This record gives sequence, structure tokens and C-alpha cells, in this order.
Amino acid sequence: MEPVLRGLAVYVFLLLVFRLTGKRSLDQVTTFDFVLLLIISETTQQALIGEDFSLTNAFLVIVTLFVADQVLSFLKEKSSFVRRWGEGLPLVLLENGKPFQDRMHKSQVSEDDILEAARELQGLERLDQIKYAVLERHGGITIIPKKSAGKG
Amino acid sequence: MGMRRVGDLEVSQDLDHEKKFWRVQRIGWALLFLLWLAGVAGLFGSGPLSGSTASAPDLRLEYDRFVRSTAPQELKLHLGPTITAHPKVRLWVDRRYLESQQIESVVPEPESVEAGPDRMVFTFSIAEPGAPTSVTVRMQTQQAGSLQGRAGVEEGGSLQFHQIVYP
Repeated sequence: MEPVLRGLAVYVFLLLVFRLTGKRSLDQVTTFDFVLLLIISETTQQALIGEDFSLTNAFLVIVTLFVADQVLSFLKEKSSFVRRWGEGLPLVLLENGKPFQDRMHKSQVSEDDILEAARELQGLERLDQIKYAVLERHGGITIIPKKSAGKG
Repeated sequence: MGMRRVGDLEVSQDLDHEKKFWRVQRIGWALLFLLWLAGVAGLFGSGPLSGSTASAPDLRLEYDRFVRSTAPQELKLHLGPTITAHPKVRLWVDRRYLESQQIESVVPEPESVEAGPDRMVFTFSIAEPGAPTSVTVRMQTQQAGSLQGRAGVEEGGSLQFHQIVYP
């Protein structure tokens, strides 16, 4: 019973915190973010296991986490409400070379981030070569170049 | 949910939802910050909000109002001169309370511990009769919830304290 409760509590808490801190938090992982993530997992691990180092406890916790994840993805599939709030929706950040400053500010994306994605994904040089930049649900930015520009 | 068009893009963007989400996110941040402040202040143990005392004549207990399960905590009992006038002091603690604890150390070490029906009695000898002294118990709480404790000395009064134990 207790490992299940621990697993669920940690799952829900982490889900809330990571959703709150925004989509961007995990896409572009800097070295420091990576270290931070390690520290978070280290801290979580203690609370997840408690003082019981048995295999049974570990298995129960792992199964709990998987079950919680399965239930969440099932609910996401069934309900658009859960999908919207649990996962978010894509957001157009730039249209025809013109960035939407308000949306970018609220989602903590800078022009540099868009330009970086444009260089990396499409080999573009300037904002005005971009037709659409979309902040995807997983936190990454995708770029659609104007017809005249780009790889080809 | 039908796909929407943004220009040539087929994308399920929903600006109304996004606005709601940003609002919820902002409230969430505020709550998180408040939670953190409460933590700093000691609402979850070890801080100014948590430290507390209970007293009876010539007897004073320092304890934490908020403690966390399996985290170390300390009870410090100050004994005044009328109690330490006796060469031996018999200090008792509620048995129900102690059963929820794992005692790590009692300083000074008691000469003997006796189990009674509803209390444990610790006997200490006093080095300097009539001089104030104190006894410190370090322990870990094993269960979460609300805890009621009682302690006292057979040579004097008794006191009650209340703790909230977070899981």
C-alpha cells in the first residue's frame, strides 16, 4: 500500500511542477539543466523508496509509476480536456517572418531560440525567411521556411 | 477536436486555451512560491513557525510543532531548581507517544528506564542538586498524522504538547 501511495504522490507532484514550469523547460537541456535534473531525480529517489530497500518495494513503485503513466495517456486519448491541460497544444510563434512577441514572452521563447531552430533544422539565415515557427507540445520549436528560402 | 487552420498550417492551436493556461500557470507559480515561503518559515518543520515550548512549574519543554516522518527531531526538557533539588529525578513520557517514535539517544543517559501501563519512566541522578539542568531526547517519528504527547516529572508537574507529523 505505502509504496503505491508514495509512487502516486511523486508522480502527481512532478507532473504538476513540470507542467507549471512550462513546455520549454526540458527541450533545450543545458549542462546545468542536466545536472539539476540529476539532483531532482536523486532527491525524488529517497522519498520514493523510503527506508525499504527490498526488491518488492522497488517493483511496486515502478509498476505504480507505469500504471499512472498509462492511465494518464489513456485519459489524454479519451478526453480533450486532459489532453489540453496535461500536454498542452501547439502554438504558432511566428507567421510570415513576423514574430508574435506576446506569445513568445508568455512561453519564454526568444527570437534567438527561433533563429537557432531555423538554422539547425532548415539552414535559414533570417527571421524573414521563416513562414511559420511553431512551439510544439513537447517543447521543441519547428520551422516551416518560406518557399523561396531553405535547404533546396 | 477538429483541426484548425492558421494560414496554411493545419494545427490545433487554441489561443483561448493558451490564455487560460498562462493564467493557471501564473497562479500555480504564486502557490509554489507561497509553499516555498511557508517552508522557509517552518510550516513544514524546523523554522520560526515550528519551534515551540510547553511549560509547567519549573519545567519547560522545547519541541517542534511541525515535524516530518522519519526525520530527526529533538525534545529538550529543562528542569528547574525545585525539581533538581531531589538527588534523583524520575521523568516520564506518555507511552503512546513514545511508541510512535524511534529514540536515537537520551542525553544524559538515564540510569534506568521502566515501562508502566501508560508511561515510560526515565530515572536520572542530579549532579548538582538545586541547579537547573536539561534532558535532551533525539528521535525519529515513524508515523504521519497528528500526535499528542504528555511528559512530566514525578517530583513535579506535567505538560502536554501537540505535533503535526508530515509524511
